[in-house]
Amino acid sequence: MGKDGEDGEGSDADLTVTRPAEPSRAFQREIRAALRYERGLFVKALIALAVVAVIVTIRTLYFA
Amino acid sequence: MTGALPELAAAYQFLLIAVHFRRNHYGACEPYFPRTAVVIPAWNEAAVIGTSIDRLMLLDYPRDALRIFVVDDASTDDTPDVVLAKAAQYPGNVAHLRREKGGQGKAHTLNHGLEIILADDWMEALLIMDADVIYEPPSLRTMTRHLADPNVGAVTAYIKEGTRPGNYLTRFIGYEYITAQAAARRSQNVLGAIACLAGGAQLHARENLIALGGRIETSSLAEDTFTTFRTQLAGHRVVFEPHAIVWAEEPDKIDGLWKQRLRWARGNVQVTRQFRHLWFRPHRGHRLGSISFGLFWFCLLLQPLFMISSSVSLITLYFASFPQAWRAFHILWIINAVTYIFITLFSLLIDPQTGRHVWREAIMFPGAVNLCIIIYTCFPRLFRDGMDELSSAAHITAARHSPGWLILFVYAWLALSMAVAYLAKVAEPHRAGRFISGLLVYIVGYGSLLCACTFASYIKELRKAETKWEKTEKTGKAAMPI
Repeated sequence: MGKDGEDGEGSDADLTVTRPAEPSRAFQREIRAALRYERGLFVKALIALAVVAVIVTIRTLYFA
Repeated sequence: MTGALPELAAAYQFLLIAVHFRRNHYGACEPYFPRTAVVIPAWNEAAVIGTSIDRLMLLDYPRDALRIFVVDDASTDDTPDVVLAKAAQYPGNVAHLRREKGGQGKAHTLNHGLEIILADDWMEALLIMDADVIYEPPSLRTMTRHLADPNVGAVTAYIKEGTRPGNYLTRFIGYEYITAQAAARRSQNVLGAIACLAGGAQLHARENLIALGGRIETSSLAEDTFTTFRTQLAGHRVVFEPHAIVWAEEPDKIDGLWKQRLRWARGNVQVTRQFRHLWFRPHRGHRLGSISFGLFWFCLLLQPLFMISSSVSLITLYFASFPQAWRAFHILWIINAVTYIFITLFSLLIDPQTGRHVWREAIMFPGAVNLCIIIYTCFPRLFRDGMDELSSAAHITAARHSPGWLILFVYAWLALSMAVAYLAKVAEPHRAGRFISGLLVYIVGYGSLLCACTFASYIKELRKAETKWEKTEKTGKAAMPI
C-alpha cells in the first residue's frame, strides 16, 4: 500500500485476514439495547400523541 | 385542502417510526467483519483528511480488515503530502490514489477509486465517506452486522450535525437531521424502501457494487440517491442503521447551505424524472413503487408548490366566499398546528442528545410568523381578548375586527415566506447581513428557506442550467461531543 500504482494488481488476493468473532454475548447485548431503544420510541410516540390530545382538548373546551 | 397533504404525510411518516421496534432488520444481523475498503474522495482536503484517517484507524474494527483509499481529485493543496504521511504512519492500511485531471465531481472521483479497488478481490465491503466526517468508534461494525444477511446490498448510518462551534444555522440543520434522518429513515426502514444512502456514510456489499456495474452514476447531481434506487431495483435491500453515528460539518452560512441544498434538490428532480416509471406502481421486487413511499417523496419534492397553491386557493376563496376561505384557513392551520406539535415533540424525544442543543430551533423551525398563526388558530380567544384590550385602551373600534389586508397577508404568507427566505440569502453578504439574514430565517422559518431552495431547483432544471458540482466548503470544524 502507498501511492497509486505501487501495489501489484491483485497482490493481496490471498491475504489471510483474521476475523476475531465479536463476542456473542456482547453482540446480543448490543442488539437488545438497540431494540430496547426502538421500543422506547413507541412509548415516546404515545407521549407526543398524548400531549397533542391534551392541547386539542383544552383548545376545544376553553378556547374554541 | 391539498395544502395540508405534506403535513399529513409527515405525520403519517412519524407514526410509522413507532412500529420500527417490530419492523427492522436486527433479527437478521450477525457479528460480521468483512474486509472493508474505505473510499474517501478528496479535493483540497488537507485541513481535514489527516484527522479523518487517524479517527478511522481508531474504529472498533479489526485493523487487518480495514483499508483506507483516499482518492485525490487533483488537489492543489497539501492533501497528497498529508495522505502519504498517513500511509507511512499506517503501513498496509492507507493508500493514496491520485487523479491527475480533476474537477469532474464526486462520482467521477469515486469511480477512479472503485475501478482500482474492484480489480483486487481483497475487498468484501466498501464504505464511501466524505473527507470531513467522523465515525463514532462502534459505527462501522454496527453497519457491517447487517451485511451478514446476503439480501442486504447497502447500509447507511445516522449523520449528525457536528460543527463546533456552531451557530443558529448549524443548530437548525441539527434539528433538520433528526427529522430527515433519525426519523424519516426509520420510517423508510419500516416501509422497506430507503430514499437515499447518506453520501458520507454508505456501506456496500461487494456483490452490490458489481450488480451496479462497479460504477457510480455520473450524470446526476444526486449520485447517492441514484445508487440507492439502483441497489433496490436490483433486488437488494438497503438498511438504515440509526445506532451507527457519524458526525459531519455542515454549512454555517446561508450561501453554503443554498449551494448544497440546490444541488440536492436538483438531484432529486433528476431522480424523479429518471425513475418516472416506478412511482406509485407497487412491484414485487422492491418497495420504491409503494403508495406510501411515493407520497413521502412527492410531498417533499413538491412542498413549495403545495405552499403556493394553498395561498392562491385561500386568496381566491377570500374574494369568492369569505366564510369558506376562513373555514378552509382554520382547517389547514389546525392540521398544521397538530402535526407541528406532534412532530417537534417526537423529534426531540427521538434524539434527546441533539435535542438538548437544538430545541429552540426546533420550536422556531416554522418561523415566528407561522408560529403566531399556529397559536392564533389553536387559541383564537387569546388574540381576540388581547386585541379587544388594545383597542379599548386606544379607543379604536376598527381593530376589533381583523382588517382585510391582515387576513390577505396571512393567507398569502405560505407563498410569501419563500420569497422572504430568499431575501435572507441575498442579504447575507452585505453589511450587517449575517445578523439580518439570521433574523429573517427566524421570522420566515428554516423550512421556508429549504422550500425556496427547492423552488430555485425547479427553475434551474426547467432552464436546463449547467449541471455543475459545487463542493461544500469544509474547514475541519466537525467534532464529536465529549
